Amino acid sequence: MNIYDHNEMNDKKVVLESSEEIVCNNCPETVIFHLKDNNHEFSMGLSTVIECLIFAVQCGELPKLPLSWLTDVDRANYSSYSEDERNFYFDDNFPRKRE
Amino acid sequence: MKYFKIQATRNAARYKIDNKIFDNVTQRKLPFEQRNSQGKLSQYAICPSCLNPIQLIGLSHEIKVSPHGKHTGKNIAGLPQWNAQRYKYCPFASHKEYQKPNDEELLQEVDQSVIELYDLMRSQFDKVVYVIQNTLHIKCSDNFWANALQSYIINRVYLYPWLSEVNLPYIFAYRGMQHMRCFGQQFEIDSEIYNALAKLKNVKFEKTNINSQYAILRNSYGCYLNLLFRFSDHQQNAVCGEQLIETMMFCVDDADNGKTVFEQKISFDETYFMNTVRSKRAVHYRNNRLLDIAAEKMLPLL
Ligand SMILES: [Zn+2]
Repeated sequence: MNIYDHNEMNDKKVVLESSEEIVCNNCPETVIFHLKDNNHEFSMGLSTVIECLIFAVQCGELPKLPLSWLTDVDRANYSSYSEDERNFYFDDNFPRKRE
Repeated sequence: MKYFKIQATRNAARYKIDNKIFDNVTQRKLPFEQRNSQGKLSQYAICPSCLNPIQLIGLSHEIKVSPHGKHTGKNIAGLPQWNAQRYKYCPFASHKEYQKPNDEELLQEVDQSVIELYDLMRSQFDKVVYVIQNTLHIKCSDNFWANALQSYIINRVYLYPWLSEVNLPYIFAYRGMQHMRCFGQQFEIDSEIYNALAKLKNVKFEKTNINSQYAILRNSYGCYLNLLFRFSDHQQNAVCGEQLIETMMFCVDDADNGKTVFEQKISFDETYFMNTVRSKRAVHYRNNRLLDIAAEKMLPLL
């Protein structure tokens, strides 16, 4: 079932205008994304982006994430997605290999 | 031990074991001075650590030992009931009976002492943070401290058997800050930890305009920084049954390769925290944001 108008979505393709790293001692967000479509501009924090990603994983639209990666994300984000088995597959990436 | 209390509470003042001070504080009233059936006078008080009755030895000059306290090991009229469970966690207990700190053991019940230390944390959370920040040469965000407190509560560290009003800020860090990220926190410029981290590849310190003595730990662009705080090896040593030396290891690990990049032994200051709690100096102004966090997260026990 389509719950949105495809034409409208195509018209209003959202683009990332810019991003800024936050160096605020008391701000829970570390990065803010500034987004723009034809009519609006708005901002979104990194934690919202992660929430959307996890939503897509739980729906089965994206593959599960490696546990080692998700654990590090939780530490950076003060979240607990790595405690929910729907979000990850077990990997044994230690020491972390990122390159 | 070299201190005594005259009230069996965590907040009660500690007094140095000394004849004049004992005289002043107790006026030698019952139950602090008692005569036995033979008429011999003995002086009693309360152990500052386990709150059990102690006998004060060497107050009068008849014995040539430096004045110190000794657990009575039994009930003394007018003083709190002897608590063997608490005694075994007392750093001044005899070597045979003393149970050394370990990270698994928690008290099985919420007693009066637990409630008092829980309330002390809740009402003085800003000063807990003040003491630990100064000790570790860091300044962390409110968000960081809210998460450390969350961890302290979830892991029920308030039931850590060796917790006292002396070590509260240190044990809060020891268990609450465990494995939290260093990224985005402030470090005191030229402190040991700052210098150790500044040497690392991918680390960048950014000066702030809030406080010139501190700089914020950032990553170099494009590199994820996975530096984590770690604490271990809490130890208590009552040297010659007198002064208490309490320590822990404070480390920073790079979780990407498992290497320890900074390591420091922290000695707990026996009076710093409670002096800060009692201080009226302006530098110890209350931080209401931190107090609100504590009030919100720390629901009443029981
Ligand atoms: Zn004791």
